[in-house]
Amino acid sequence: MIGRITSQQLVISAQRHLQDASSQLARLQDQASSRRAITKPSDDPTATGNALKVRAEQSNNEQYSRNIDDANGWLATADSALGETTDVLRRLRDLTLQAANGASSSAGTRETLAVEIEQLGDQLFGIANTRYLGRNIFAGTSGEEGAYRPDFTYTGVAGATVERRIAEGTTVQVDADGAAVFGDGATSVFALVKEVAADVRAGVDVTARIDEFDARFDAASAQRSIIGAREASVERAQTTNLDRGLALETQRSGIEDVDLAQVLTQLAAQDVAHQAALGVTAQSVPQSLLDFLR
Amino acid sequence: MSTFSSLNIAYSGLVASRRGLDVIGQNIVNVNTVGYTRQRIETTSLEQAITKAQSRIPQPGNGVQVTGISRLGDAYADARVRETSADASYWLKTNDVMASLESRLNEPSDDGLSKTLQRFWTAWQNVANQPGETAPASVLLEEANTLATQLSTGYRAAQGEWASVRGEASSAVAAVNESAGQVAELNDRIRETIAAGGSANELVDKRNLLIEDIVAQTGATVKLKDDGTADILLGGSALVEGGTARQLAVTGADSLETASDDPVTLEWTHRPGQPISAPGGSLAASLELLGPADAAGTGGAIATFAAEFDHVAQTLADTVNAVHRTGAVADGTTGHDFFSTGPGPAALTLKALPTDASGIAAAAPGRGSQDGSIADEISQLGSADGSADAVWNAFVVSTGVRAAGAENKAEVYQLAYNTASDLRLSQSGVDLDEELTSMLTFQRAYQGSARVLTAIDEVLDTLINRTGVVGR
Repeated sequence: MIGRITSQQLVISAQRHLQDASSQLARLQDQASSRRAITKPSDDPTATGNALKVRAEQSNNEQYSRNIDDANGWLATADSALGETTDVLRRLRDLTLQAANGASSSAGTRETLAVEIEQLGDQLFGIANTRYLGRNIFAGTSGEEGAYRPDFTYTGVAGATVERRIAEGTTVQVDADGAAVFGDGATSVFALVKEVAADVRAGVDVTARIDEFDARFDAASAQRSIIGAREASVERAQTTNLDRGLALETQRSGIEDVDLAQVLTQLAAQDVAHQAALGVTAQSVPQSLLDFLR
Repeated sequence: MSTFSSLNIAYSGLVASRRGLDVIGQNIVNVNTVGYTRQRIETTSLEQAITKAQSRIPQPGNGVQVTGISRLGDAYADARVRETSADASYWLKTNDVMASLESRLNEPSDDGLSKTLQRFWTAWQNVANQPGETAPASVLLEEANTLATQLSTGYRAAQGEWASVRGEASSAVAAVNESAGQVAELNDRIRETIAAGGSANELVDKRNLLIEDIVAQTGATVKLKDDGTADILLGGSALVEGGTARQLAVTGADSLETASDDPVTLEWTHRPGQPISAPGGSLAASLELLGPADAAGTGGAIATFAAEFDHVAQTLADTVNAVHRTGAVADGTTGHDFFSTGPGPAALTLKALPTDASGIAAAAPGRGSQDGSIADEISQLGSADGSADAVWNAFVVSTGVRAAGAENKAEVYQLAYNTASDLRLSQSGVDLDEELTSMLTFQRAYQGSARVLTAIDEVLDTLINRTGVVGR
């Protein structure tokens, strides 16, 4: 222990203690008002590193959530388009069967059938060219106006799929394979419809064609179930995404944010300490022998 | 013993008390003077005058004599203050600069570079979702520009910090030169005063203050000599030797760009081209901070800071370009860069080359114009090992560690300095209560001497005026 205490020493140590108390108070006030435990990397370098990682994951997660919404839009559009496709194909099969059974019926009846078949063919062509946000559902990477040109050529690129990233390392295909459902060019369902209509009109037997419609129907159903399975996986990803978002926010808050109750308690304690330092300084520094000398 | 010698004894008491009060006064008025060391009057009793014919009657002494005014300084306490002040100011300076650099990182926050990088990668995802569309492409280009701006701002901050530390080093050396000159001058005066038998206490106080300043800046060592002068040694050579002072100079680069080719060094003006190392103090801290960056990241903090910004920019450009080149732009061609860098530091020159959606290679060649697989691949670069994000995160953490280390050391050494200066103040500072007590003592001593004078006067009065008046 230092033996001798001098006037300047008293003043300087009082100043130092006041300064310490004030800076502690300022730090706690800063924490309490910003509610952040880490305001600069040096507060806790390790936690800062973790915070940056969690923030990056949060940002990714938010983007996955947007991607999931987008994927849902694509898949829902594809699903309803495929639903319509199966309906139209079923109707086409029925009409073809009807035409096959009544091959000998009148030219007028056949014409009516042929016209209806042609109309359904147009409808199918329209469905095949369904777009979502300006993109072809059945030929996702195609930049053209539709998945099929008027001459029934498929505009999509084989194997080029539209993928959405719905979770870390997981992508899901959101477009439907148009070529698998509708075929391409001369072998396409549109060409089939056109030929069947012409055959019906000409009175040619179309019985053999029914199987072809069945094959198309199966292809469309298969594609629809694939889309359904993808929708289910996107839905699962959405639930996971929400949970992950909450978990990440909890994690971030745990790293970066202060325990408010703790900080407020410390703040109150530090406030008392600061006032005590002020009080002690005010009491002790002016004291000297002069006060007692006459 | 003469008749009036008793008067002389009383008179010597009056003189000593007066001198004592003077010293007390000097102490009291300098109670708040920085660097003042308390003084004390030294007195000694005078022996009896020796006469040829020694009287048989014992003689008392011949009064009191002021032998000097001593300065109650403690060379050991002074040395401790000097030692600790060199370390304290070294770390204080380092901590200041590290804290300033660290604040430029803006991390962790929503405005930091990591957030901008995230938004940049996210923008690539949106381009992957809607390739060829104008809106996501403009957002991506905007984010790329923001990235470039933030990187160059960070780099420029390092340049500014470097220039300001360099400027401070120059002015610190000028101040050291000035102080050294004054110390030499004071050395001369102190030697002369002491040789003439005077009191050089105030001059010594003044010189010690200057020496402390020099030591805090340079970490020089001090050698006190018997004739009262002090030599200041820096790296084995004398900065001040008796009455002569030598001059220091800071030479080398005056901007961050040239720092690695032309390092900033300290040298003697009379020995140009031979760098000396400042053993400690804030000047040593400045010179270290100004040093060039090295591969291990342990070089000069400011240059390292700039180099890391550069590293992030270069990594970003390299990784993005590598993937972007494999993609096809709107006209179907491949091999296009997304970022351009140079000439000069990548952090300052990073620039996104595409101006609209047609220049962004989102599609893999042969997969249709609306393909977004390349954009998706680029968007995943941020999570890869060795990505710009990873470089940045490591940089933020290492800066944090360095800043936290500097802060801790600054606190520890400041504490040591405080303890040392407390110790010195405790020994050499003025305590008012003590001085007032001494004042009372001297006051009473003066009163006592005056009373002795009066008594002797009365005795003489009796002898001179009232003797031989019997029967008058």
